[in-house]
Amino acid sequence: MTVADETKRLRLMIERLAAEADSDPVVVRYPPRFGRMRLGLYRRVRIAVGDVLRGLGLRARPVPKPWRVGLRHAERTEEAGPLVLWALGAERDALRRACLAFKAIEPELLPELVPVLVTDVTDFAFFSRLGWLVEYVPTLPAPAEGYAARKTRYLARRYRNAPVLPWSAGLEADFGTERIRRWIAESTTSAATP
Amino acid sequence: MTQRPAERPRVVFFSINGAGLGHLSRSLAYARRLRERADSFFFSLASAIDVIHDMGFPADYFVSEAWTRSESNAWERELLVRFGLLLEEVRPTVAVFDGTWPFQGFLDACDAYNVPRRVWSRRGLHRPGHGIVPVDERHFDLVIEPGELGTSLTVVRPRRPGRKVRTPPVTLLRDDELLDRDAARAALGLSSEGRHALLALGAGNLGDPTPAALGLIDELGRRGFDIACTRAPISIKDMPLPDNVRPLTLYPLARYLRAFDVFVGAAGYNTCCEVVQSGVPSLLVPNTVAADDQARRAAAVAKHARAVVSECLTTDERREAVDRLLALAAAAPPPRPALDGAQHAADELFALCGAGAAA
Repeated sequence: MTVADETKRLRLMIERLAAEADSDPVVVRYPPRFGRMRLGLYRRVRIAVGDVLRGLGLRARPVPKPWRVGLRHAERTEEAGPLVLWALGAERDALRRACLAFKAIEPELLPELVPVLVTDVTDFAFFSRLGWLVEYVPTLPAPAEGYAARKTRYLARRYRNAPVLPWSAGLEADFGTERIRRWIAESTTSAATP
Repeated sequence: MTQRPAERPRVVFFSINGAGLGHLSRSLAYARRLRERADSFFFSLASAIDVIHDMGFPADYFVSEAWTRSESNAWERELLVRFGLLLEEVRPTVAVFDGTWPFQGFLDACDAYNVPRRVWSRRGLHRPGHGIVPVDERHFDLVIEPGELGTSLTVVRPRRPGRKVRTPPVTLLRDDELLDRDAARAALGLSSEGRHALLALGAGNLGDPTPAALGLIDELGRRGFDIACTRAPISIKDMPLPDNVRPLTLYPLARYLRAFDVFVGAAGYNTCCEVVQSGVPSLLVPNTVAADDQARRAAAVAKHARAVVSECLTTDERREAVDRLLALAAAAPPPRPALDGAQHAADELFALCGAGAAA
């Protein structure tokens, strides 16, 4: 399978997983409370009044801050969006080579895109030095055997609108920024076509 | 006696990403002492998952608040869902937070899932102005304070919630897990002859130890030492080393420390405990950027072990510190204080597991 085909397949799979994750109640089951239970009476009353005013449309609702994928110690990632490298089931040494290939062209992707590595490979001493966000998908023992699949679905939902590439793209002979952009464009067009 | 899996309580350890691996190492120390009695899972903000797996425990990773570019609320919101997901699948009896400041996402996830028992492993000895945390300890069933050197087991507050226990220092390994000099040298591929020095001045993620490290490498090299320097698993970049210095990735450090005639390290909690446990003559270089008071801790270590303390900022300071270190190396080691805090902490955790199951 070519990288272009693999990218299209990946895009469709992520869309399917993300749709499945939409029905997972985990997101609504864990609403942020930001310490309300631990504040004093005065603060809690003020928050309650604010909630009422917002409910009546008399006060603007705070806009949630976006989830950013850059890391503080990685320069030029302040506003970067994710380029998801999907690396579940990758072989460790091959993944290292692919990551280094992406790392070599990273300056050309920044500040627009920064890689986010979705992987079940445990190679964190290497990953830490890449300066990328790592989304790890571990296999846990009983009773949490279902955790990996559930987290994968969650990550698909989290990054459903982001460009995604198979990790093995980094091993292609003609790998480069222009190819990446073309793969992304082709997969997006294809996935949008009914 | 080992309990059958069906009967075993489950403990989730949540460890933050610090300057080094102290928080994670403490959690691992507790989990290792619980191994025969409970199943431990890790949710780590430190990117040292390999280390956790190597110790035989399952783990997940989530980017730390110190690394992410997301604003605090966005990160906490994401943490809440990620940790909630883990709680739902693992279904723990106890959740243990090891860190300076319990994150709201952790507390809210525990509330929303209704984790039966919550624990805060809260190391003390903060620098002035640090460590003032507006979180009531009574939100936790148990607060474990891993003590500094010379601390004996003390029940500070007996009743739950908020039972508080101060333990002797916590070490990751038991004494019998430390390799002796010859075995450690063989394991590391070092010559059995000659004088070896090890430098471990931190991951470099909090303050730059490079100038002091390079100066000390120069100083020790002129005294005839073969020098090795650790590469921390969580480093975001590697310190450039001279060609004659051997890079080593060592974890846990204590297992191999006796391979070396002298050790030079930062004065984090874990390192200080390992220095005392191994008995290797050491030069401690406190990290003055970290939240904990490393200068005060290093001074305390010097009372319990053959240790010299210096910031090693100048050539003269480094020369004088190495002079003192070598003089000290010839002296007899002082009596060693108790280092069995991990066992006491594990016993407290296991007792809480029983209380959680009964609740």
